[in-house]
Amino acid sequence: MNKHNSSFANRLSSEFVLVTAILFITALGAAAWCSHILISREATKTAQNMLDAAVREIENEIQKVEDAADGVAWIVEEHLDDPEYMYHITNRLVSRSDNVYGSAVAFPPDAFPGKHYFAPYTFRNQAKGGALTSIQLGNENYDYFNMEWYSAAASTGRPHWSEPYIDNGGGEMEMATYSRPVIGSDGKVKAVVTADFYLKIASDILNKVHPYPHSRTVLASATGKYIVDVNSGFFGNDILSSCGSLEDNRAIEAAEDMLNGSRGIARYINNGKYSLVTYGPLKNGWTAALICDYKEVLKNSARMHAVLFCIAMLGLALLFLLCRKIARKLTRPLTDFDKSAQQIAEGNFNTTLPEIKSEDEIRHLRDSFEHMQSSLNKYIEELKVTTSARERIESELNIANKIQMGIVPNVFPRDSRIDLHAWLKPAREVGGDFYDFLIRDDRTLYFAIGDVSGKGVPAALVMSVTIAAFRSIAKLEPDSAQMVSKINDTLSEGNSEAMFVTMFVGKLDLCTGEMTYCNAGHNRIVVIDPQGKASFLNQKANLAIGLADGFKYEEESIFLTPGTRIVLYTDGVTEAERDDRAQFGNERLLRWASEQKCANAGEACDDLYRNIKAFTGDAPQNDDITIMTFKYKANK
Amino acid sequence: MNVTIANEGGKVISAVTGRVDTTNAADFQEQMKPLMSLQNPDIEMDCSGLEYTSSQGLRIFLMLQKAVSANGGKLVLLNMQPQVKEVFDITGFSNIISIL
Repeated sequence: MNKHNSSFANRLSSEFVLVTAILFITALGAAAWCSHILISREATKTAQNMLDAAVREIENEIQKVEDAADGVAWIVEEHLDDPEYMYHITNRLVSRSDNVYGSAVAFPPDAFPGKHYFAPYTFRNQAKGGALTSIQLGNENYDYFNMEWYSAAASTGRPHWSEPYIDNGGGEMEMATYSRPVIGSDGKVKAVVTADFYLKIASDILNKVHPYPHSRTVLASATGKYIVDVNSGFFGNDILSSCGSLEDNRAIEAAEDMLNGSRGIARYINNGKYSLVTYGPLKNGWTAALICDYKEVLKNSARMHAVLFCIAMLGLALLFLLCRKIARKLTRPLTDFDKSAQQIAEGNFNTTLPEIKSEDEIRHLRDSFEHMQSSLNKYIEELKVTTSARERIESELNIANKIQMGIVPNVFPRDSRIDLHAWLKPAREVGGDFYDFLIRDDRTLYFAIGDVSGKGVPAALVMSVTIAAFRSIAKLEPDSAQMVSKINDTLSEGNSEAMFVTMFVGKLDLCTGEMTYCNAGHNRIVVIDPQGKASFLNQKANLAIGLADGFKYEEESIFLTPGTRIVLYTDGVTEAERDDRAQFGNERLLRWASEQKCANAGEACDDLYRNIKAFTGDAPQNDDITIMTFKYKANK
Repeated sequence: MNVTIANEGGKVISAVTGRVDTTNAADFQEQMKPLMSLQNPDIEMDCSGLEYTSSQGLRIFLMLQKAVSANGGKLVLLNMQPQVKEVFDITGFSNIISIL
């Protein structure tokens, strides 16, 4: 019982929560998507800003290097006639610029007499703890005229940044050299001033750009060589070829775009990991890039999603519990009604119904229950009364049946001159048929058979009166017509209901065989002669008893030869009906009478009844059936 | 079972058809009731359609006879079928009800 109720509440809340969950998750999904986009955009922007800041800082350093070289160009020009002064210039330049590792002033071939190579150079000598050392660079082994740092600036007449390299002369440092040509008034390159940029400075700056645990920064030269790769030793490698080895084409596309000097963002997959790269150019033609693990970029977004998901699940769980609690509260009256219904089913109609304070369907249900209770109580009370009345009537009728069966004689004469048997079966508990007989003075058999109109209790009452009248009158009055007349007078008095009795009263002299009789409107009796021939007795009808006070009944008589049988019966025999309304009838009765070979009267009664039942089949008995038969044997 | 009642030239003409038995005797009595309290109590009842009557039916004919006599009228039953007439004869009802 409780299980049913909780499952109802569970189902209700489950369905509600399911619908809510769909709405909830849709809304959350949209929110998560938006936040994902926003966070991703924000993170990308932040990465770009950080990279830009680093680029500005490196450009600043580069600017300082360029400024240092540019700043001495005019001094070199003014002292072209004083080669030794050049050492002074380079020395001053390096000492004044702490981000410059070394500086040279390189002259074209044979710029001074006897000096085919002339390139004074001052650098921070690591072997001497960084003390400034000045040397002359050029000789047969160091033919700087064909070196990039010199030739690129000298041939074009424009400043030039060299590809990054590792300085072999000094402290194995990563370097890039800025070359500044000094143009004379004749438009010719008079010298090239160089400043070596100490790339660790750029790397230190980029090192500070570290927004995510696994992010790395890259600085590349104008031709696409790695200048700085903070997390690896790719120095000098070609960036395009290293990107080309990645399976994702977007990586090389981004690298090409970057080397073209564009500023941008790209995403690509490297070793199954999503990477986000932002890149931008430096004004000297170099480019910088910041490469981040996309997962780390979106870590905040993922964390936010997890929090949102947890909140949603928690909310749904709470909603489910709350719903179930409410549903249980709402359906609790149903549980109570269930209990009440079971109580009522067990017969406890007055069980107390649950109290309902609300004015809703539950209240209507309670009202209906209450109505049902009172109706049930009323019906049961009525049923009790009716049942007890019926039981009383039934028991009374049962007793009446026994009384009636006791009224008609059940012990038959043991007389050698006569074999008599009679049999009565009412259609209901009691009926209006009767028979009676008595032998007076050991010589005369008085017998009667009768049928009160109608059936049931009214007929039974009249039957009792009639049989009582017959018994009392038969003892005193020898004449059968007088007997009937007296019974008629008794019954006709105050017969407002027009009840009547058909009756045949006979008197058989057992010595002579003379049978005198008086018929009062009863069925014609059957006489079977000793040869077995059956016929109806031609009897005078007179009038049924109870109809006319003072009616003159007439007596008749016949002589019975020994062996003659008489069959008396009521109309329940001839009018016994089949389902198709056909009646047993006089002909069947006569045929039975002629054909029967019964050994005695009792057997004859049974045999006739069997015949009637065989005829009517399953049709109910519609009238009382009485049979009385006797055989006059012989006079002694 | 059905009873019709009509007025024709100062006489009540009635007709009964069908069977009167245990099952419909009460109904028959109910239908006969109007005939028992008539202003003009002379009744001719056509019994050509009456197929069967039980002793309960006889009793109702008798009640009608008594009522008609009490009102000073006369009841005549007409065209009775033989098997019905036989019941009236056996019981002696033919002696107290006029059957033509």
